[in-house]
Amino acid sequence: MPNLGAGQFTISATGWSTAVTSDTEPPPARVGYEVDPDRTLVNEASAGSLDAFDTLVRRYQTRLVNYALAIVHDTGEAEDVAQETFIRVYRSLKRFRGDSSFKTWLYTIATNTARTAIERRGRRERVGDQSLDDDAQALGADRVRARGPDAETALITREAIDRALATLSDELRVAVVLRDVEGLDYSEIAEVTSVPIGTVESRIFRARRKLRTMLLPLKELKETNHAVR
Amino acid sequence: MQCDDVGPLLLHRLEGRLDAADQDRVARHLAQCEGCRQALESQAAVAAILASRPLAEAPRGFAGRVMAELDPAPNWLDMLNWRVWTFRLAPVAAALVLVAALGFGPTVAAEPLEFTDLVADWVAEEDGGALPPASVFWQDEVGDDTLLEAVLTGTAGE
Repeated sequence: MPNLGAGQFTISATGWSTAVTSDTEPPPARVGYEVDPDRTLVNEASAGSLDAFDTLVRRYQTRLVNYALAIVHDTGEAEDVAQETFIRVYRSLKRFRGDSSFKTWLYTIATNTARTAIERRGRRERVGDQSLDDDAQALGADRVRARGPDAETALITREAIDRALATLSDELRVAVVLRDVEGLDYSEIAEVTSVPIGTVESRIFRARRKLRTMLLPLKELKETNHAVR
Repeated sequence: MQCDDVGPLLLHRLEGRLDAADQDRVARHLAQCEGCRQALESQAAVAAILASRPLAEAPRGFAGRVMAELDPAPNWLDMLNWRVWTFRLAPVAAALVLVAALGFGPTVAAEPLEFTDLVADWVAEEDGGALPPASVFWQDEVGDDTLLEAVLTGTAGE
């Protein structure tokens, strides 16, 4: 079993990721509450420092946009959710008491914002009905193709995973994405979703079981590609 | 140990969080249950695939757009935008409406004045009950000659 929290970044380094990593990228996900690496910046931002908040935005923007994309499955909407999340966070900074880590709090607000976006959209369409934002996806695809086959493979892989995730109910999707994609631990997920840890475990177990038939072919494809190279 | 009992423990095993007793019980069950072994393997495989989900880049200028929402720079061109002024003056307009409503209050509607009553009053005030010159215009039975005379002489006629 890999360390899923750090796995995201390990895999980035091996070329699977299309994201640009930098010093502003978030620290590894498995960080205890007692050493919240964002605490200083949060305090400064709460005291009115826009520069400090700008650093937090740059630190988490890639993760948050990706999380929103995995949940709402629409490029434009994901950006809106991420942006609205940061704005809500900034406006609520004074109320953040630090009982949980900043990261957990950020995901809580992002999850609520994404759920609101899904509910708002619910009357128009059902999540996962293959209704991706075609223009935005096409733009992304062009950019990726220009970077070569690795980037293209990454885009295809991400889309396949997101399509599979979109077949899950919202509560299963949120739980499994927070665990396996974002690398939060069970207690953090329980806090974000406001349910007991046992419920979190059950949701993750059921989500993986449902995803099995859609995702296991990806594993075989990946292994085949590695063998060819 | 039954499969239903093992289910919740499979996650703990994947996470390496089983105590020694449970670890032993689960191991013994897995040794004889193909279904649970496959479930365990697929749980691990799906988790690994999800963990390898490639990251999409944040859109260019994303952070800048967020910060612009939080700290909008003053734009002097806004002074020329009537919508901005309309928006900013809305509270003032609302206050004026409120003051007007409270300050003046509802008024008692006056009785509508009847034109014929006015004429009657006017006639009563005139000495001898003589009609004003213009009264020819609202009298019912006025002949053409009388009307012409009234216009030419400035009197009400007979």
